[in-house]
Amino acid sequence: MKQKQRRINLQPWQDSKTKPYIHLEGVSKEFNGVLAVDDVTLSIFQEEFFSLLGPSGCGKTTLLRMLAGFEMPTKGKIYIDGVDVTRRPAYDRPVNMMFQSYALFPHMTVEQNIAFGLKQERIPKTEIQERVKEVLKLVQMEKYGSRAPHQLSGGQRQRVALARSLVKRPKLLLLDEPLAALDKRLREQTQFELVNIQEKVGITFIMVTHDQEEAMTMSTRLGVMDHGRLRQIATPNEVYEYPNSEYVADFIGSINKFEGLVTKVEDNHILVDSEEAGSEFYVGHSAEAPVGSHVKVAIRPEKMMIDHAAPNQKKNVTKGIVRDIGYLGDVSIYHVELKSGKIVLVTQPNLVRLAERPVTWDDSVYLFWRAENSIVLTA
Amino acid sequence: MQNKLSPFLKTVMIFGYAFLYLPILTLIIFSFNSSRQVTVWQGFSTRWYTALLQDETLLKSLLISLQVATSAATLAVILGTLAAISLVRFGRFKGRGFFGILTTAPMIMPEVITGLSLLLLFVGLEQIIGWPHGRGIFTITLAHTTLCMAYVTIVVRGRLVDMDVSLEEAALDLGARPIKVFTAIILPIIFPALLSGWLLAFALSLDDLVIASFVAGPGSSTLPMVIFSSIRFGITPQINALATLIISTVAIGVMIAGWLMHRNK
Repeated sequence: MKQKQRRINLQPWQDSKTKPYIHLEGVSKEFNGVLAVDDVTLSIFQEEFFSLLGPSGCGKTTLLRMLAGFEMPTKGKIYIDGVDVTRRPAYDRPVNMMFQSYALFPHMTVEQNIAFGLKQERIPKTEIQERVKEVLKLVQMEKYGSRAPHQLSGGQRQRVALARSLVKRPKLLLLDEPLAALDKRLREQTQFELVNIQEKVGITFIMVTHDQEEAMTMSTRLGVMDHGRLRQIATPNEVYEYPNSEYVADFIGSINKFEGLVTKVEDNHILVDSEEAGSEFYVGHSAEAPVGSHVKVAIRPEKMMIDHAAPNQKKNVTKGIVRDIGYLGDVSIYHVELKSGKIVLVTQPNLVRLAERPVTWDDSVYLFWRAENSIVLTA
Repeated sequence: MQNKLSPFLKTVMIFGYAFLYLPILTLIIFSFNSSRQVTVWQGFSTRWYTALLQDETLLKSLLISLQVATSAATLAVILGTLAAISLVRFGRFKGRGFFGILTTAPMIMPEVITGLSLLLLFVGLEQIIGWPHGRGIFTITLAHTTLCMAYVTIVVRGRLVDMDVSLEEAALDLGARPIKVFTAIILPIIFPALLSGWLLAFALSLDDLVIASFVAGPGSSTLPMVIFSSIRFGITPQINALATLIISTVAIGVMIAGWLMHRNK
């Protein structure tokens, strides 16, 4: 319980007095004239679980490899715990990495793999043995110390790789798609285990992933990357509910967007007239959008209601015809076509069994939502 | 795997293996022939083995061959491994493709040309800088190294390409310096390739007649050279006995190597 509480309270980025633990200052990386990482400035705090999220080729892995010391930045500086490590080689950094392929040494046993890093530090044998034992226990692999990597399952290899990167007690642990090689069920289970281990050892983690669900579940904060740039750095909740750009909104989950014209600005609302939706909206989370400006109003599919009967509200309502229903078991996704021809996605939990579902194909329905659940996208 | 082979496949297999091994089998059998004539069977005898042990020219050439093959194979493994590592691991440096072709060229070059060019080189070098002094075991070893290195490079290169680069990065990341990464990670992982490269080089050197004939000097005739020249005076069953011994040694060597490699996997 105490741990959970600490995790909730851990929001050092809110406090301007906290010094960042990892700091990247205007870091760029160029490969043969192509910018893979473009002027990234980023501060990560002690004990954070930070995720770099983005599609393949967005530069997230390059950024991670620069932190590890496998690539040198073309421009910019990298600080770890206040020390400039920009030009230091990989073997001279207080950083360890868990590789996507796990990179376990095939000619060594599990124990030898884990001890390898400690041996380089010339630590006494007895201490090495103790620390190897300790970390094997942490990842629940005590019984497998004398096995060779090829005798282990994928999940077990993943644990050994984690143990090997943790045993040196680095200041920063980098994880390159740590769960990508596991199947879905094991992945979900491992997500929580990894977070628990991170809380136990108190090491700062930076994870690279293209799986938004993974990033959302595990991270304290995440950075969404696109074409070498960091588009938004925020908590999972903020990134999902208040994306700062159309790119981020589209990348995380699915979202419905309506183009419209701002017709009125009130105290904490703006009024948007959308031809695309055929109606007027109030938007609660109002960005700076003066009267007369063109904006996009975005609403998440699960924040929309769907019903045959007209709701009481006059604004934030639109009408359409159900064209398609995607049944996922726990939820259904309704594809509703508006008069303008636009398809809107609405997700509803399946509170009743399929046969009793009130809304079905070709029904004419009302879609409505609350003003504070929609946002204005300006970028 | 299918356990039952069709009669057709069986026949093909039997003929295939017969084609490969019947001549060798004949040779082994006739090495125990008591007759002086190689083609007529007269009775079982080990006299040719005894005679072999007393034939000093043959034994000396065998010793030279083994010495040359051992040194050449070792040198070729060292140089070939270095070449393979620079080709695979040093990124796309300028002229990599050209360098790659250059290292493997001795493999496709006609042996006569390799031998002749090496002879010209050695003679030229001796005239200009006085080294290597004369021709003999040393020049044969150098020439064989050139030839074998190409094969070793290819074998080791294949293994290195298959090796996950992140293994090296992981070792670096865990605090091992580049030298340590090489000795503790790369070397053990590519060891089977080094071993098979060495054996291949050894066999190639032991087998070579053409290049050795060009660069050999007085008193440095290798076994193939002695055998080849003795054929001009007719084959003695002694050669059969020697060949049988060599085949047995090679077979045992290959079996040990195979067992070692299998165990390492």
